[in-house]
Amino acid sequence: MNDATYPTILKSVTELCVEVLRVPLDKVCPSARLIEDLDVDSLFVIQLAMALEEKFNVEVPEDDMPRFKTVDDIVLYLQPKLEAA
Amino acid sequence: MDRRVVVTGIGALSPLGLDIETTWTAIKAGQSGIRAITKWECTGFPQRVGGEILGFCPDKWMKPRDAALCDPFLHFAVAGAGMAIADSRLLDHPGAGARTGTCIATATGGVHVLVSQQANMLRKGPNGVSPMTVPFTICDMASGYVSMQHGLEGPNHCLVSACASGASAIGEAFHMIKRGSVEAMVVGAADATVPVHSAAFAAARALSTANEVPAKASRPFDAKRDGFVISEGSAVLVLEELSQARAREAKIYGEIVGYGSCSDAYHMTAPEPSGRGAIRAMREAINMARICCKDVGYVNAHATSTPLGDRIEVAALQSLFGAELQNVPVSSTKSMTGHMIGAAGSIEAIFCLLAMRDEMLPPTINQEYPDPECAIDTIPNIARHSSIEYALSNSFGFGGHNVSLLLRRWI
Repeated sequence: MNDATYPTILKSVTELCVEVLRVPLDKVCPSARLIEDLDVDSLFVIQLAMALEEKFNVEVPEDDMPRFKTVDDIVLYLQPKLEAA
Repeated sequence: MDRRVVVTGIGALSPLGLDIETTWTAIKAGQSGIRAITKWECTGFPQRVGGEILGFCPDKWMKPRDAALCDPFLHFAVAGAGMAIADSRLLDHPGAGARTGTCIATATGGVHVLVSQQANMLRKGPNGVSPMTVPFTICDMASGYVSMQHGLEGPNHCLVSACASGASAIGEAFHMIKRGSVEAMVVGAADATVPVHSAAFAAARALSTANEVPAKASRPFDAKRDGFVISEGSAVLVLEELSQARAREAKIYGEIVGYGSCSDAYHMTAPEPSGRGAIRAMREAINMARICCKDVGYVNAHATSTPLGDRIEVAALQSLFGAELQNVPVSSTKSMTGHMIGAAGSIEAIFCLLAMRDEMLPPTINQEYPDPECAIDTIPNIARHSSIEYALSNSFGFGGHNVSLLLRRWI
């Protein structure tokens, strides 16, 4: 990814959340909690991770998934991976 | 005291309409829901017509994120159940969910999603398979999802008997309520068409190849019938113990008074030539209701439009009813809906109830060339006004399943 800035990644992650989780755009913000605010269960975390892998062309190992508590966590997780790419 | 079972809610999606009343209006008008298939590229398919559910939005009936990933058979099941439950108003009554079970059958389950995930796996490896594949394809998830969505805490399972699935589900749920295991059941079936099934049924030479005029392809009992027309949809009923239904002043569509179920024990796909299984199922249903054949005012036949199956069903009817059959109209609504596979049995049971309610017997359309081996009153082409008390609905399936339901008008 050429532009691995926080806002750019946030925009892409937000679009992905809307697409995979079918939640309204205005519910997806950095502090949105996956379980409490976006109603994500354990299977949909995996579904979301698969979508992240495909969209950003990165690997998201299963052991990393528990880190994802909020949308912000996902963006911060992706940023170094994308900068290194 | 003998517990009686009545129908207090109905819901359906069919190629003739996205709800049951629209579907029923089209049935009474003798309209066909069969069109050229649009959901997949049919080049090379011997059969290119079918009964499709078009213009349906599952997001109205389930979480959009689930709808995006789950199999179409689940879309149809959840919508049909939602309509039936809303129609019954059963859950307006506190505590009703705890005493209500779910049995939504399917003949094939989530093949559409399974096939697409198989393609993902072959392309990307095992990590390319969605974690939602199992929950959104397994046959029992229609019942499971509906029970979760509506808080139905009674028995929850799926029953499979191929094209008799919907009828078997109703019959077994009827028994569960009668014996006191549960007070109400949300029961029916759903199936969605997929190209591989269409190709497979065609390979088995079971499908009509009359593609030129789609509306005329399904023609049960007619001499020019050449196979069934595959179709999709769902039909769900709310069955309820009579005293509970009365106590809450529920709208009652009719009573289930008989159920017969047996096996041909003969062949995987071919019906047993003498029709002895069909005869036994019909006789069991009629005996359970403690009536005689002459009391049956209408038969909704299984008749799928295959040369062999229709003929054997007619022979079975002639054998059981004898001379009385000349006074008993028999129609196949598959001439209009096509063959909705598992859902056929449950939508046809609903048609029987509505026929008694409206005093209007549904026709068999496309009756143009009489078949001497099907010389019965098929209610040819035009619905018929008639006030009847009992209707019999037949459903048979690959595997040798024979199921008959006897329904009684509610006055």
